[in-house]
Amino acid sequence: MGTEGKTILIIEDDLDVLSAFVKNFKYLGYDVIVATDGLDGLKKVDAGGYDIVITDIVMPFVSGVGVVTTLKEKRPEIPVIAITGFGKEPESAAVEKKADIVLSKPVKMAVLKEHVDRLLAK
Amino acid sequence: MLKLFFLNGDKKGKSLDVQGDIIYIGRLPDSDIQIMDKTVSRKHLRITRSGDKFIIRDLGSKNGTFLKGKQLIPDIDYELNEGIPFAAGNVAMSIGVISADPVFSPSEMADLSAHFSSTAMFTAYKDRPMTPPKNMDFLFKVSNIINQSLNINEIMQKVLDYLFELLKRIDRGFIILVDSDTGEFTNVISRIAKSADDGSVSYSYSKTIVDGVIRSGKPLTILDTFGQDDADVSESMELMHVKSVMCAPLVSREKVLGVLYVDSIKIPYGFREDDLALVTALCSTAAIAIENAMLYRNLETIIEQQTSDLNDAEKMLSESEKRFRAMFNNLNSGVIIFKVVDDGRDFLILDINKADSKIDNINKKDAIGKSVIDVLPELKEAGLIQRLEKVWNTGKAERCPITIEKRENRKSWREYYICPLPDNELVAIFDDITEKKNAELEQKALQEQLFAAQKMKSIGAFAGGTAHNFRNILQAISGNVEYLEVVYGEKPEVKELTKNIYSSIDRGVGLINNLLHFAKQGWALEMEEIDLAEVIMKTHDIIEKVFNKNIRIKMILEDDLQVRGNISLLSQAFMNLFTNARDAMPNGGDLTVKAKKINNKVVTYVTDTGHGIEEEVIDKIFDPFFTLKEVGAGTGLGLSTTHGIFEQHKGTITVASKVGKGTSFKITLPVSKGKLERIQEVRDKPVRGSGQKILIIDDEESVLDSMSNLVKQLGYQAMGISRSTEAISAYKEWAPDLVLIDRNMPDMDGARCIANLLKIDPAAKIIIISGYESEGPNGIDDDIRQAIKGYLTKPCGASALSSMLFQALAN
Repeated sequence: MGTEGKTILIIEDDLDVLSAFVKNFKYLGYDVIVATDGLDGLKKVDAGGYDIVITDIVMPFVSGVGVVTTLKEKRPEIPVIAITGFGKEPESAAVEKKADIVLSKPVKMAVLKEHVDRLLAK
Repeated sequence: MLKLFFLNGDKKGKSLDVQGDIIYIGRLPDSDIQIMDKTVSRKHLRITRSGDKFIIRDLGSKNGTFLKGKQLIPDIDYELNEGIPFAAGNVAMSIGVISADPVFSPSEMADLSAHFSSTAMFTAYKDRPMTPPKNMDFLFKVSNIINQSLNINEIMQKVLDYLFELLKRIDRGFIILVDSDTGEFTNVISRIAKSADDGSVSYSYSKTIVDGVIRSGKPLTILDTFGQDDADVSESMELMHVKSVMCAPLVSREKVLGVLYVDSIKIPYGFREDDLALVTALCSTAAIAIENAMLYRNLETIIEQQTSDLNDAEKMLSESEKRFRAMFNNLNSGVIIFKVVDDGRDFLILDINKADSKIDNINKKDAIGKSVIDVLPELKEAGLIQRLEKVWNTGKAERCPITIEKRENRKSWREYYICPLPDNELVAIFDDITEKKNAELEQKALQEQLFAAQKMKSIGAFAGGTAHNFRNILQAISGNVEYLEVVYGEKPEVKELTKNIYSSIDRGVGLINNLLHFAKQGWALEMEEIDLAEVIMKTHDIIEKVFNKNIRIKMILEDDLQVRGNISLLSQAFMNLFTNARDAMPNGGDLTVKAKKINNKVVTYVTDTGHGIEEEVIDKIFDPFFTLKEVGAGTGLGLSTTHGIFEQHKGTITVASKVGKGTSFKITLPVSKGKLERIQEVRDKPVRGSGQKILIIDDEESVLDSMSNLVKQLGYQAMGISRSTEAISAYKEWAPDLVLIDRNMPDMDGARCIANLLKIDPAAKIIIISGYESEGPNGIDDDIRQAIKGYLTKPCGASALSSMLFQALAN
């Protein structure tokens, strides 16, 4: 698949969740950039240096919806995975069109990895 | 004391005391009474007295002695009465015995005499017992007849009638009644005798005479009224024609009512002493009759007045009665009036108003006079009688609410106000407040609903907020566990442990979903046409992975169980039922799910062989927050939510259970005839196979088992392989018609396995069932994609699987 060497930008405000993601992705061989809120997320989006973005929806300052929208405007070639803690709720509906896929927490790492690989493969 | 009165001449009005029983009157000085008048002889006449009587004798006078208009024959005794004028020559005199109280004092008499001419003579009579006149019997008759009348005018007319009959000599008669207080003449009746009536006779009389008689109360005769009446000129003109007058008082019970006045116009000395006696007698009778009549008239007047007053009072009373009756009947409140009998133990209905008639539904006619216990038994039950008794005993009014339970469990509420009335009566005034009360209850219920809804809303808000955090927590747990697994996964026990952890995480997800659903209950649901069997299968597929192997699951689902519903909710509901069944069988058991169509309902039974539910609690199991699990173990939301979900789907859920044997839930849902719209999966009935051999490959045993069961149910043979390495040999040995690879985990071996299978049998029919999209990284390269005969995403229903199998095998 060739996932090695790819960088994932993870935007997630829950630090425990974030650390779990980071651990797993690093173990799986990915590089990881992190942001812990929407504002920081936007900054990191601007900075570039990633191949795919995984973002939480509900976050302080700027929500994931904003991040997704910005990303699709500025870097449409970058795939986005949105993860929501609300299940299939209005938020996800808003993001649906824009994000490449919306997943509901808790999501299994394996599943997440599959989607990452799939999207990166395109 | 005997007196001699001079009636004319220069001595007129004077009187002399007379001594002795023999009195000589003449010019001689030695006469007892000397009169120096030319016409009087020296020895003119002699009056002799014996007791009460007097004798008069002319002594051979030159000019004669006159008595009552006649000249006396000399030397003959004639009876002389008191007051009767006699004349010696030109000198007129009369004798009288004056009592201690003279009726007319001398001065009065003098006054009176001034009114008359010198020739007039008058006589005043004192009280003297009446001499019975000759016409006594006639008088008696008359008095009877007079007394028969009560009409004053009639009486007076009759009196005059008789008067004119009795006294032929009278020309005019008057009856004058007088007001005792004011002295005014109130009633005058006058009559002129036919014989005298020549058209010129007037109807006036002497007021002076009448006044005098009224004042004195004594009758009066004037034999010759020739003279001037200074006081009343007009009268005097008439009086000039009047010659003789008789005036007698009408006296009754010492009260002068008036006078009877008769006169004779043409003739002086027209009346004899008998006449006055008669008149007086008549007067006394008349007076009585008149007084009776007056009394009667007064009485009549009083009665009239009283009757009028009575009528007025009656009218007022009638109006008042009308008013009160109108009020009584138009009141919105019911009113019952009771008579207290039996010393306060029973109450008879005296009256009821329209409102009560309507409310209590009784006829006034039927109720009056009867005991309240008979007429209104339901009020007795409601305790009204005790209240009546209490008010009767204490005498104090009371207000009391009453609840009546009528038939059909319908209650009505009333408020009574009972108060005592005079004469052992009570009145009960009441309002039927049932409507009001029902409205209150309804409002209360609505409020409670509102509160409940608000509570739900806040739970929802809470749940919504919590859900997000909760999921984050679960994510953190899941992610870390997965990490642990990849790092330390070789150790066998780690896999077991992580499996448990994942299962717990799933339960956590289920829980938060349940909670969210429970909080969302009021929100509109998205319904669609679905096959219940699919939903059940879907749910089953989820749970069978996590259930313990010692629970045997049997699915017996009919085809075409179409209902209208929300998939996720129904899944949750069945999920809950399955989970409960599992929890009831900690040591294993059977979980059977049967679904079929009965009449117009889809009936599903979920039965377990667990410990059962006790009778005492079985009614409560659908209550929210009721749980049989240990504290902290179950949230208690499950069955209540499940119940709610089926209700939302217009279905029902009931439970039957036997402790120690097991529990069975029966769910009914209405069949729906709408058009099935599910796009993703094939909608046909599960097509059954005909015993073809299906090789099932999955590294999870439990999945293998259930899949095998399903496939077998669909009418195929099944063999399960858990290691992909064994797949090749199995394929070679068993030579299945189709291979079913069911994989949840991305597995390089999976792809390789497929590749290997195709190597040994390029025509191998392979279907992949996966939890992930076919686009996903599931080893589904283009090569494989082309090679496989089908791809099913989980969860898939029996029908989808069956049609896929059928199609794949058919080609």
